[in-house]
Amino acid sequence: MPVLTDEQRAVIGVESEPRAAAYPVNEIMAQFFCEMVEDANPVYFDAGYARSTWLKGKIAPPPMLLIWRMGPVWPVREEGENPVSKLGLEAAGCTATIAVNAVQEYEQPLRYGDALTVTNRIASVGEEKTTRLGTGHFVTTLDTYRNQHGEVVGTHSFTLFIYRPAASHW
Amino acid sequence: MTTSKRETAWKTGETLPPISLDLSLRRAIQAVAGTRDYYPFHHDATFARENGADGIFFNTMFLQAFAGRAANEWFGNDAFMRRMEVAMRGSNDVGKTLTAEGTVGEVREDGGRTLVDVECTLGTEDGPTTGVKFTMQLAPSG
Repeated sequence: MPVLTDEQRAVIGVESEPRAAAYPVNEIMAQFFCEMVEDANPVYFDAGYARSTWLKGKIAPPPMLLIWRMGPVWPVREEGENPVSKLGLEAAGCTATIAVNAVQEYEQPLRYGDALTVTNRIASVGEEKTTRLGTGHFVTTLDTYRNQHGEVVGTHSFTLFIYRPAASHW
Repeated sequence: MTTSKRETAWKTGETLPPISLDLSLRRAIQAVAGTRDYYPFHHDATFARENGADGIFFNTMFLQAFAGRAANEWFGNDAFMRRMEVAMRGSNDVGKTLTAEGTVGEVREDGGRTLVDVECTLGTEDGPTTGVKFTMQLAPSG
């Protein structure tokens, strides 16, 4: 679909219902995250050190923001409103997605035990484009994360290319 | 790992020491577990090739994690990340070595906070793969 349909345009900018994160912000997942890139920062795990700093206690690694909204692999959770699926791109053969750009803003440190909720909206959808990977649309989503006090703790803007893979070219 | 605050102020244009990490297949598997990203691009080489990639490559959250590690090694363990933008320009492929390089941009005071903007590039032997811009809030002095 080279040009966006009215149905697709109607999805843009509509904020989803809040959705609770599957897991609280937790230290074990933070350890796995730090093991992955060999991040030895004691502010994440050493309570004594962390208390001695201006942060006044341990914090979760800020770049974990997106991970806190990843659902369990099993059992499959009811997905609820997924604005991207409402675009109908998959039915048009756009079965592959690749990340292009990600912007995270961190309003305040996340603490272990925080229970987050996320709202999501599609910020923009580009007209059809063809790249090396295939033909599809650049879609930008915006997630807003709130803690159990209703405070915005961070936002994540993600630009994805959702495409029909090009015919095999090797 | 830096554990003490730097005595001298950061200056625009300062070059930050490179930090490297091997992108082994084992680390790619760790990255799937560590980010909970089970999209097949990141663990299934056949799927990756059928969808236009050269093979398994590392995901966005892994790159955010590595840039976050570099940021705190450069600006102190209790510096707090305020913003990070990651622009994927090339793939970070299994078998390569990933290196973070950075240059200090603007250093500014904002409502009592000291903020440092940094231009960072992640790259492998293939060249730059990922543009990263981030802003760190430094620990208050004194």
